[in-house]
Amino acid sequence: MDAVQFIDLNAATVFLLVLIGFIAGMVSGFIGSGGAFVLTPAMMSLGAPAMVAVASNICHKFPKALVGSVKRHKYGQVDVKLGIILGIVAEAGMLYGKHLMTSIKHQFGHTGTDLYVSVIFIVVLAIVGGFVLRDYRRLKVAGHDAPNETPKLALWAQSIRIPGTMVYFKAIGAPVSVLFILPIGFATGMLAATIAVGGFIGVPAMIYILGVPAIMASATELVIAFVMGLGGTVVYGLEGAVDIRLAMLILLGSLFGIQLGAIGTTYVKDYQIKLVMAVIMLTVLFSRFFYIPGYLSDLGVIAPIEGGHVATLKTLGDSVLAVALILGAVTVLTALTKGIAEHRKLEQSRELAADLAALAPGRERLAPSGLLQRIEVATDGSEYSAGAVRTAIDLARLSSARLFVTGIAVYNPEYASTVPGLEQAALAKARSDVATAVAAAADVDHEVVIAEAEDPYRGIVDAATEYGADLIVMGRRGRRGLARDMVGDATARVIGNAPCNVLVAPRGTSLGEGGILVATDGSSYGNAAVAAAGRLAKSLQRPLTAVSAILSSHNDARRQEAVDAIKQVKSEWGGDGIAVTGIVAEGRPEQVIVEQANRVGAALIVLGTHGRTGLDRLLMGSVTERVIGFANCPVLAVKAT
Amino acid sequence: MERQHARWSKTIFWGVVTALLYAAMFYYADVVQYVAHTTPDACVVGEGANASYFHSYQVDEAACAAKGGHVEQGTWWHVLLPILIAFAVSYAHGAFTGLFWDVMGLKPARQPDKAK
Repeated sequence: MDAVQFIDLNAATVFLLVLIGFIAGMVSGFIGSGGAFVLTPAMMSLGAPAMVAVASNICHKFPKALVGSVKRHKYGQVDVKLGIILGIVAEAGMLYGKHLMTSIKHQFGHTGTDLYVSVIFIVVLAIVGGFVLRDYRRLKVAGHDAPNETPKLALWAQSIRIPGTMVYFKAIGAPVSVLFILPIGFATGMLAATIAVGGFIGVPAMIYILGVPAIMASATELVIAFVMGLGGTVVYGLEGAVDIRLAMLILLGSLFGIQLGAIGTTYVKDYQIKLVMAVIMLTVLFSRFFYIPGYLSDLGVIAPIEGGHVATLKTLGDSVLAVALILGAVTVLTALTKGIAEHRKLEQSRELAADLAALAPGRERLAPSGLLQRIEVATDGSEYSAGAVRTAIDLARLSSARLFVTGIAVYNPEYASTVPGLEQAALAKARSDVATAVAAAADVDHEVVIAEAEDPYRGIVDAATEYGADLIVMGRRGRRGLARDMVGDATARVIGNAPCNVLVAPRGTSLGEGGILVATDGSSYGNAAVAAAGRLAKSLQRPLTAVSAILSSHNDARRQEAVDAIKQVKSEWGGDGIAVTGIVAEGRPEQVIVEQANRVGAALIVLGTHGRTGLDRLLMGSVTERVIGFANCPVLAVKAT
Repeated sequence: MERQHARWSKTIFWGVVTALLYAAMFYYADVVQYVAHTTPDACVVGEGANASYFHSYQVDEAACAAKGGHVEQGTWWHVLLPILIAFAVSYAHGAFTGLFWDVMGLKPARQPDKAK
């Protein structure tokens, strides 16, 4: 019987595990791979048997893969069908890979699996590291990625038609025989069971053999990683090999590191990342060489080596691994500090320019609403954004504002460096997304902004902050049935996080000829909405309708408040040359607002919002969200400060 | 200002949740180890923090007794514990670290394109 002892955890090992997790995470966030190729040998160096190292590594990865795949599915980058088919086949490969490991363990003990894992590591890292090095050379010479073409091998694979095995995949855009998919999935799973990094085979195989675009290959790999990781954790767990403490300590450091590394990539050139990646891979590979003689001597394959020599070789191997990690950490941190310093300088000069513009005579800046000077319109080029673009152009023209036509390049920097062209593809898509809007905005003062972000809402909010926008205009996804009153998550998040007011335009709308309808209940949110609506009505010369909703359960005092709120609007804005009408109607607020807006043919609905996000929003529900979901005209959500 | 404040409180909230999860996992480290090792059949020698565990295809009762231990039948659903822990910690810690660098003022560089 073998003792399966998990490593002893003391203050020093805990610190080392968290530190290794952090550095490995930072390196993997920077170079874009799972980081497992650093973690497995590192855990083995700390004394974990190969099987425990691989099992714990797989266990720490799969929840991250789930979160990642759900996120990227929202951007339409995941081919779920391909991911699940590959994932299930990979599961079989994983079971076989694990079976192989267990057999080796039973026949040769832990030394046998250690040797097996080390050899596979060396072979795979040599091949992948070599390819990355070649990519680096090409990139450095060309200065950019080669244009995205379907590889010749993929064209050939797509041309082979084997009746009864053809399946259509969205990511490929053509039917492909499942017979090509089976070996890819199987090999991915086997490699994952052996060294905990299946993506080394999965992603390149999807790109080069199946012809999946790089951006979708890396996203679909996350589905495979999740299916496989969950399955792997179960099969290794059933053998008692998952040390959750080890996995979670690595995770503790790695999540901090991954995000830092990913931020780092945004400050350096693509080929620099490739170089770091190749150097680290080859150094890790080199470190594994030093352990092999010890394993071979233990197994009696070569003449016994004296214990002292084995220990020395092991120390050498550990030192080389440590050098690889430190090298990676230093590179990332240097890139980050340098980049941040340059970025700060740039931001300071931008802020100064904005301050000067704000103080220029005759350019009074009106926040949070009122006369508009800088309008950001976010577009993804879809029919859902078309209404937002039209409304924004109308508003910019009417208020002589500068229009920032914003496209969001959505991608995860964590994967950008391993997948050729991921960032370029996202940028190119964002540029093509804004093309129609830019053409339509030809006659207004405009600027094109391409913001890079992992989440569309982040990109929109950050661009508004950076360019000092006083209004964000965006579209709304059409929904049906139960979900119809739920506004798209991105829209709600923009409203929650925006530094300014947000105007949401449904599909097919523009700023019509009608008046402005404002909802008020006399609260501070209502007052903020009234102030914004009044100023807009005045500057656009449109009539103003104030609406207050009451419920049948409301008492007289509450009814009086509604009447007072309307009276206040009339007295505040009625004398300013604007026609002001007041309505107090019974019903649920969102229903009353939308019905009255339809009745008076309002061009715009103005509402106050708490701008709450997260749990608060879920608990309280939001009239604003429901109105946005049901309205037939644009809705301006005014943020009360 | 209010937004900044909300970010800080969220960061602290997820930080505390993460810390509690880790604290619980290490406070009950013996149990966690025991559960992991008794997912398959295991020969358990010793108790609590000093326990040693032996696995094989078939755990041999005689060999186990010779080591001064006893055989525990495996419980397959013990495998769910590491999966649950992995999900809970990833979720809380992921939320925390995402906010952490943000409140520390570290943000990715954007490369705005300017073309009039």
